[in-house]
Amino acid sequence: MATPETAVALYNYEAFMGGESDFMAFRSKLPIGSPAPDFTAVALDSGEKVQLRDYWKDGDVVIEFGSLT
Amino acid sequence: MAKKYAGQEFNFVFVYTREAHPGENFPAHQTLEQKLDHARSLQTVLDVQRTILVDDVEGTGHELYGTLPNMTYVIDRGGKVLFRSDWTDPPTIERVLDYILDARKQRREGLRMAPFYSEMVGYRWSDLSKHHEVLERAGPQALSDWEGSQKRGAQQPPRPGRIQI
Repeated sequence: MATPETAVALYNYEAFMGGESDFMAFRSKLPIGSPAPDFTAVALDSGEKVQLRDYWKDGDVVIEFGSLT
Repeated sequence: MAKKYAGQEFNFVFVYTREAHPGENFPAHQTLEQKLDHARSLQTVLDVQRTILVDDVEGTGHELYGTLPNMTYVIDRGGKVLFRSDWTDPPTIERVLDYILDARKQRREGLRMAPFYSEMVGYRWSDLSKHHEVLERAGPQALSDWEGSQKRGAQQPPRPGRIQI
């Protein structure tokens, strides 16, 4: 089992390599109609920990994942 | 887009993930503090007005949704996936939101609306000059890594996931 440090290093790769495998895996990940997974995140403006599910409690939510680069 | 649909049932959230093209200026995250710092840069540089949520440094949330660099999901009020896209193309998202609003409007007006399952191949404008701007912002390493990936890709057979219309 990966140590926490290894898990961080594996996820946050240091060099972009490209490839298609993640795109193919996406197609079977969360089919239309499946329950959206909840997770804890930090709200940047408040610094508070929040649950993603709170954003679909009172309406639909459009969630974009991304980074600066 | 968030402003256009404000007050029309949709919340808009941006989830900040790992850096897709780490470079000297924005290297791979090692701590949450560094990730929060990069997220603040993103908010300023890209003028992101939406709520920004920062995933943990292990990418727990990102892994749950598929680890791609720029996905979009539309989730309904009950927490079910209504739409997903492996790349974010704003014109496509607008069409999807208009489609959802229109279907609900017709149902409210009394039309019998039967749900059905659908998938599609999307096409988007790939602006290479903008992509280079992003890589330059990240630093020389990001440019070099990208060029390397392109050279490797050119030596590979056609990608099975690229479906032409």
